[in-house]
Amino acid sequence: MKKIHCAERDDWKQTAENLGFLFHTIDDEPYWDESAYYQFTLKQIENDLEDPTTEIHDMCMDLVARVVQSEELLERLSIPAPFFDMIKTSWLEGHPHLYGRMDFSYNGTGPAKLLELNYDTPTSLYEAAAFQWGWLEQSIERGLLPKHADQFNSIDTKLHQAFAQLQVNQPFYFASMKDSVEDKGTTDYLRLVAEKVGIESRHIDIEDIGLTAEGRFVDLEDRWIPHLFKLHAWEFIFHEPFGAAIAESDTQFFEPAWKAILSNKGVLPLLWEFNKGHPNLLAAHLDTDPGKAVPKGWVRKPFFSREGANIELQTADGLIVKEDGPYTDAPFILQEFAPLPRFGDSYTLIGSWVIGDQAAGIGVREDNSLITKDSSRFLPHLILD
Amino acid sequence: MKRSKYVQLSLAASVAMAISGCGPTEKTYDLQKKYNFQSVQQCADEKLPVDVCSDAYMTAMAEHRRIAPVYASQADCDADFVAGWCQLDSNGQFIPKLGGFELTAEGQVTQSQVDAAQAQVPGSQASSGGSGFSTSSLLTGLLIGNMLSSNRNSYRSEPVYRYRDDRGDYGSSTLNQRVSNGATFGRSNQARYGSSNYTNTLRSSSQSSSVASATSRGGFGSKASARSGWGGGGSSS
Repeated sequence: MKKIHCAERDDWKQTAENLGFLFHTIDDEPYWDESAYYQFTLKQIENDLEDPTTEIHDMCMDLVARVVQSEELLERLSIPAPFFDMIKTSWLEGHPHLYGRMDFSYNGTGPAKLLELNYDTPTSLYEAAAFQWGWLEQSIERGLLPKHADQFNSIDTKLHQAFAQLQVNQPFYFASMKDSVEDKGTTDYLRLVAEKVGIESRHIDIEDIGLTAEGRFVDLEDRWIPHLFKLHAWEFIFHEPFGAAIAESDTQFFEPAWKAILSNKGVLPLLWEFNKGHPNLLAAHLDTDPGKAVPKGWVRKPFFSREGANIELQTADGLIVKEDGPYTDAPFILQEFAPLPRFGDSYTLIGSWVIGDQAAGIGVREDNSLITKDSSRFLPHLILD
Repeated sequence: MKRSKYVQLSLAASVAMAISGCGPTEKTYDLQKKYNFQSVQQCADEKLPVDVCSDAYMTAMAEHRRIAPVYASQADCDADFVAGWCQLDSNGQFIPKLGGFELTAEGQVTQSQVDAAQAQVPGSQASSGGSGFSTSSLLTGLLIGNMLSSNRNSYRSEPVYRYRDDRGDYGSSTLNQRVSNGATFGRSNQARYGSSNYTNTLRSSSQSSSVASATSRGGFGSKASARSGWGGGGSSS
C-alpha cells in the first residue's frame, strides 16, 4: 500500500460536471482528489481487505439473528421498544438489503481493523463505484497508468445484480433529504442502476413523503409508494411522527428495519463480545461513565454519530483529539484506539463495500486529523503488482 | 479483473429520465373486468393481488351483513335463493349464505405497462392496434393485477348469492343484478334496516364508499434537520 502523487487529468472537473458529479468540491474545499492515488498489491486487497470484509459481514448477519431474538440486546442498542417487533419481523421475513460499508484502519501490513459499520445510510457510493472507475479507465486510455493496472471495484456490477434480484415491478422511490447535494448524488446513482435493470424509479425528498388517513405512504401526487429507498437513518425515523406508521404500511423499505441494529455503534461491543479476539476486530465495550476522561489508547464514540461528530480519543502517548457535535443524548462506547495510518500530512481510512452479501470494492478517504469527518477527501486507488 | 467491466458514469442520465417522465403523455387503455369468485383462493388463482382479493372478500362480507334480505321462515328464504342455502342468524331469522363476491376492476393501463406485462408472459401475443388491444386472459389478469396493486380505488366488491331462476337453473349473482332482472325479495322482512323499499336500500348501497382523505406530510426528516450543520446536513454517512 503506497500513496503515489501524480498529475491530475487536466479536464477532470469538466468531466465531473458533465456527468452530474456536482459535489466534487464541497464548500470550496476539494472532495474528489486525484492529485495522488493509493496503490495496493492484489494480495493486500484479497487477503487483508476482501476476505475480512466477507468474514465480518457474515459475523454481522449472525449477530442480527441473535439480537432480533433478544429484547435485552435490542434495549442495549437503545432501540425504542415499540419498534422491536418491526425489526424482528423484517429480519425473520428476510426483507432484502442492498448495501453497506465498513470502515477500516489499514496500513498495508497486518490485519485491517474494523472501526465502524455504516450499514443503513452509507454515502460516497457514486465516487467509489463509478467516478473512481472512470478515473482508472481514462488514465489507462491516456497512457498515464499501465494497462494491467486494476481496481477492487465491482460495486456497480454487484448493485445491478442486487437490484435485479429484487424482482420489483412497481415504482421504486428514492428519497434523500432536501438540500443535500451529496445524498442526492447517492440516490440518483442508485436510481440509475435500478432503471438499468428495468425498475421504474422516482425521486422524492424525504420531507415530502405523505401518509394518508388509511396509513399508506404516498408521493406528492398521492400515488402509493410501493418500494422506498430512504437515505435517512432508522434511528431518526424511530423518533419521527411517521415512524409508528411503518409497521402497518404496505411500503417496502430499503434498507430494511433490521439494519437499525448494524448502523448503531452499540453493535461494536456486541460484535466483540461474540467474536472476542478476532484479528480484524477492536476491543469495545459500553462506556458506563462518559463524564470521565477517555483512557489512553481508547476512543469514545456515541451510539448514533455521523461524519466523526462527538468522537473523542486519547492516543497511547496522551494526545487528546476531540470533535464536537450534536450527538450528546445517546449512550457511548469505548473502543480500542487503532490509529489511522499517516501518509504525508494525511490520515487514511478505507471504506469497504458490501453489496447484497458480497465484498465488492473499496474507497479511500483522507483527512487532516485522526478523526475522519465530512471534510475528508476521496482519493482513487488501483491494484498493481 | 477485480473491477466492473463497464460502468455508466453519467448521473445526469437519471435526471434526464426524470424529465422525460413529464414529457408527452403515454398512450393509455381503459380496462374493465368483472369477476365472480367463490373464494379468496379462486381470486388469487387469477393472478390478482392476494391482499386485494382478501380485502374484496371482507368488503363483500361486510356488505352481506348489511344488505342480505332477512326472512321469517326458512321456506321463504329458500324460495328466493336455493333450498338448503339459507341459515339462521343470531336474531332467529333466516338469511342466505354468502356465495362469494363480485369484483369489478376498472381503470387505465399505460402502453409501457402493457409492454412490461407482455414481457412477463412468454409467447403472449397482444395485438395492440387502433384504440384497444386483445390479449390472453393471463395477460389481462397480470395487467389488472398491476392496476389493482398501484391504485386501490380501481375496484369495487359486492356480495353474490346462489339462486334458482324461473326455469329452475342455478345461478350466482349480486342482489342488484337480481333486482334488475325483476326480483323483488317480496317475502323478506327488512324491518332491521328500517327501510320500506328494499330495492332502494340496495341501490344506494352499491355506490362507491371511497372517501376522499387528507394526506399529512413532513413526518419524516425532522430529526435529521435538527442535527443539520453537522455531518453535512444529511442524515447519512
